Amino acid sequence: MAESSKNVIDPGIISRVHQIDLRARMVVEGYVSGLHKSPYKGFSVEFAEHREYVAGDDLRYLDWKVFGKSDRYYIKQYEEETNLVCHLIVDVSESMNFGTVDWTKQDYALTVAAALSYLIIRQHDAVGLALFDDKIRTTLRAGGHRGQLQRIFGVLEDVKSGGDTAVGKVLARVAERVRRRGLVIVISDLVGDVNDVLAGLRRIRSRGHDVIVFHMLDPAELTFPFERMTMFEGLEGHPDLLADPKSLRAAYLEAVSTFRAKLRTGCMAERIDLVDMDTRTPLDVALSSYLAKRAAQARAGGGTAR
Amino acid sequence: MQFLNPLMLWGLGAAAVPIVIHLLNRRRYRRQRWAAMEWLLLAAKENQRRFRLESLLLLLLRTAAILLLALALSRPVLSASPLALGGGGAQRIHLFLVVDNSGSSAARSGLRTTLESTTIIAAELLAEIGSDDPVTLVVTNDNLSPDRASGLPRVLVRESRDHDKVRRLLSELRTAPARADLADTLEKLDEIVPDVDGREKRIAVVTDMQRATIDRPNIDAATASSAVDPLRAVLERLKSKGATVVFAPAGRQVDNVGVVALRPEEKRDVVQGQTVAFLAEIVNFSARPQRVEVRFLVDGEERGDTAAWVELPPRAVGGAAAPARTQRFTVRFEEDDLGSHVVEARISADSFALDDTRSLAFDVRPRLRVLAVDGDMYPAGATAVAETQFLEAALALRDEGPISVHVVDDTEFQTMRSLDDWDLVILANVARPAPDDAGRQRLETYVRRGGALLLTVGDKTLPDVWNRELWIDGMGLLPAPLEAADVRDEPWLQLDLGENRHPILRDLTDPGNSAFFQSPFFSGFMKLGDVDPARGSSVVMTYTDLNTRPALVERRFGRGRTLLLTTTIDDLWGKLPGSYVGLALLYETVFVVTSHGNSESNLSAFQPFVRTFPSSFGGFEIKYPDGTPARPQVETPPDAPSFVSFTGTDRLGVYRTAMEFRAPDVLTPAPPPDLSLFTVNMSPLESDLQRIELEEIKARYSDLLVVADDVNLTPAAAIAGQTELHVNLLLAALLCLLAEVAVARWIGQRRIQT
Repeated sequence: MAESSKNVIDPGIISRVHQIDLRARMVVEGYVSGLHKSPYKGFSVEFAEHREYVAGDDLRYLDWKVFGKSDRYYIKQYEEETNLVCHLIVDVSESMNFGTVDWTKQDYALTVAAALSYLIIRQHDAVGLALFDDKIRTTLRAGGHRGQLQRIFGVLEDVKSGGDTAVGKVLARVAERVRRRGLVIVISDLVGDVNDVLAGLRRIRSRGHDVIVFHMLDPAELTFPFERMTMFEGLEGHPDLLADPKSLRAAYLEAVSTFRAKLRTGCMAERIDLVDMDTRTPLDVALSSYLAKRAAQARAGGGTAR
Repeated sequence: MQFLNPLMLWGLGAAAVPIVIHLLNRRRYRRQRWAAMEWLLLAAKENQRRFRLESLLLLLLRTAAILLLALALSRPVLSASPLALGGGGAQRIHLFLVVDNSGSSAARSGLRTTLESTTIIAAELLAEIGSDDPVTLVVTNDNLSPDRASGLPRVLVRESRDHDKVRRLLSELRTAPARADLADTLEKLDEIVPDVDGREKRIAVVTDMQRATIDRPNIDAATASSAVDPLRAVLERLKSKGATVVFAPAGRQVDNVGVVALRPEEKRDVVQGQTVAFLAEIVNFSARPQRVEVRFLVDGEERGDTAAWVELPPRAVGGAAAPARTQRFTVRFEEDDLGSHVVEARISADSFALDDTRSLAFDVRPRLRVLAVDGDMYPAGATAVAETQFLEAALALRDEGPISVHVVDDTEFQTMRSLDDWDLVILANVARPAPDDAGRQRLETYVRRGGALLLTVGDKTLPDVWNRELWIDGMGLLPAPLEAADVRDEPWLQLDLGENRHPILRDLTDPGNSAFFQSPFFSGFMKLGDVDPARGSSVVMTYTDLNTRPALVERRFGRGRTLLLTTTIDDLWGKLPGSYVGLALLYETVFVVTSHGNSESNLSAFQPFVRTFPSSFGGFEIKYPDGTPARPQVETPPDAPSFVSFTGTDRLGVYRTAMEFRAPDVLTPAPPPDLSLFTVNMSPLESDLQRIELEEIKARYSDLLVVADDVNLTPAAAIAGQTELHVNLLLAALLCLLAEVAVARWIGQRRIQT
């Protein structure tokens, strides 16, 4: 089962599916079915209905009375009561519209965003969405109802690649606009000055939000695999550069490494989860990161999560 | 800096190739959209400069390698000093070009003869000096003057600034088929090299380095032992005048086989009715065995069995040429063959053609006419025979033989007005050989003009009379004065038949024939006074008595000679008649003393051809071997016979001459012209093409000259006092290539590691 789930959430396979809602469903269901323990938890106090136990469900919610009467396993489900607001901040700048594998960083980022939205809504939490390039282009207020998911999918399917990036400025703006404390998930290649990026993240943290940063990079951006003389065409207003890649590889990788090290150090200082992802990374990494953070938040939140 | 091969400078354009490739490579790139441009620009900011520097370094190395290669091929030379170039109008150099055009320069190596290589080098040397620098051109063998070429060293141009003229003369230069003597040539040059000159004196000797040219052959032991090197002597003199001498070798060592001699087997004239043997000597001058075909031609046609193959051994390494192999050819001449003929010996063609053919001209003479004057034609006594009876029987063996004998007594002899019709006159036991002045003058004129006189003694011979009439205090025809006859009762004397190389006695005294020829005994002989070599007299044969008394003596007299046999030709004093020795001695004597030889008809190149002519002379024509007419000089000295002189014997082969005569009067037709042939052959010394190794020359004359060789110093560079840079440039180009490979490898490895 784990084997099949891995296959399902392989970006190479998911990329062949065009509808983003279907992508999200495949990712999440594939991921969930691969777990021994159900990620879905009832967080409400009002009983709503029973459902049949599936492998992975928490045994704490098994209705032993029904089991005693019918010799069948049922889980008690409660009326939902949203206690987490998650804000997905997705970079759709021009630099995200770049990829050397089957899909671009933006395809990958939107899929991650859709899958997270699906998972969050399935967990009866609220999710909001903001798309940005050098400014916030589209926002959806957070909501936990089913219709919210369709709206999110609609926005994600209608994304057009934007202009330049200004991650730091946009994050600062997000910090100002999102008042309700919750979980902010930033999905971006973070192209720009690392100090600006960290400053923006700090602003969000200062508002009491938990932050997960999915740092998207294309595999080529991590390995710089070019050999022949290449004219690198700059995006987002950067100039073109004609260069012998072999001669630049070391320095380039050094620059990437330096950026990531600074970013990691800065995030650790702010207790921000930084998840490095390249577009070949299995999509469950994003979900696992979210769930881990969600679990930690639930534990830290005391009575809010049971 | 100057360039010996300036055309190759076009190759400098090839230096653009790496630059073009570099630029093309910059235009050939892939395009790649790139998001993480900030990091790339950051990397490029730090590395692009180094990358450009590395690329530039590789580009420079590649370009430099091509530039250096092109420069090396153009063979630049660097002047040792600013003055050495001689260009720029300053008259700093006087170039003395010494060009070796001796016979060996006809050797062909590849597509060029050595002479062609020589003139090319000489022209290069000429091009090296400034246009206003004077040039003196000297050749080792002059053959530029038609009909008057001397074959000796000659200054063709002296201190001329007309370089075009020098070039023209160089292009017209022909091989002279003679040996060159480099020491002689430099002696000639030394006469005109000034002691003090405002210019640098540069002497360039362009030669094929033939050993025979540089080493003067030792003519005799005395010359050899004198140990004076004439070349060193003249080089020292030139050095003392401040001249720089450069040897510029031309051509290459080639193998050669040559016919070095062609001669009749017997050193005597060819007479009708005789079978004559000719010997050709063939020498292999190369270091490997050779096999050649030898063919003999008479007047350009084959007569009899004329061809044979000859195996020739190689010369020893570094040693003298292998010994000659002799090939024999016989041919019989009859009455129809009277006149001038040429026999040729030819071998298969090789790289040196001048000695592949050798020719010999000779006259087939009519039967030899002997006038025997018998002083005792009617002897007293029943058993006595005439003095000349044996002589006549010995010489005129048969009617159609080569000798005819006419016997007269002394009375008839005195009445004869002229002796010019006779090839040999024998005075046998004549009491009064020249009883009056007219008779004496008749005899002397006959001998002086080339006639032969044989005197034999006997009982009629009175020493006082003979000395008075023929000795005349040493001024007459007698080789030595007669003293007295020593006649005994018993035979007690024998001829000394020990080995004797005199032409008359060579066969007679050959040790191989000793069993056949035994000397008869003699009971008497005529004692002689001193035989004085200063008077042209010499002893030909002696008796075997203790005092080695002369038996046969001879004396050169004018163009002829006299022989004196100091015993009787009949059996009065000895047993000469009836002995093989007597028969052979007389026979050989007739042929030898009547032979004029053919040396005047067989010349070495540049040896003058001379012919005296009679008063009825009407004109003289000479044609070169190719048929073109020559212009001989007619000399008419006041106190000597007139003669024709021709010094243009600069071509090898057969020359034809025609002497025309005037009609003695209007009623008598002029006699037909006297047609004859003469040949010109090359000195066999020139056939040995062995070269002196450069190292040997350097070792011998290192303090006196510079040797230019292809590897280290070209002739042009050497003469200009310049350093040729092409080897250095080639090394530099190689270093650039190696550096390029190393740098490219280092850069590649560094990039792979990162």
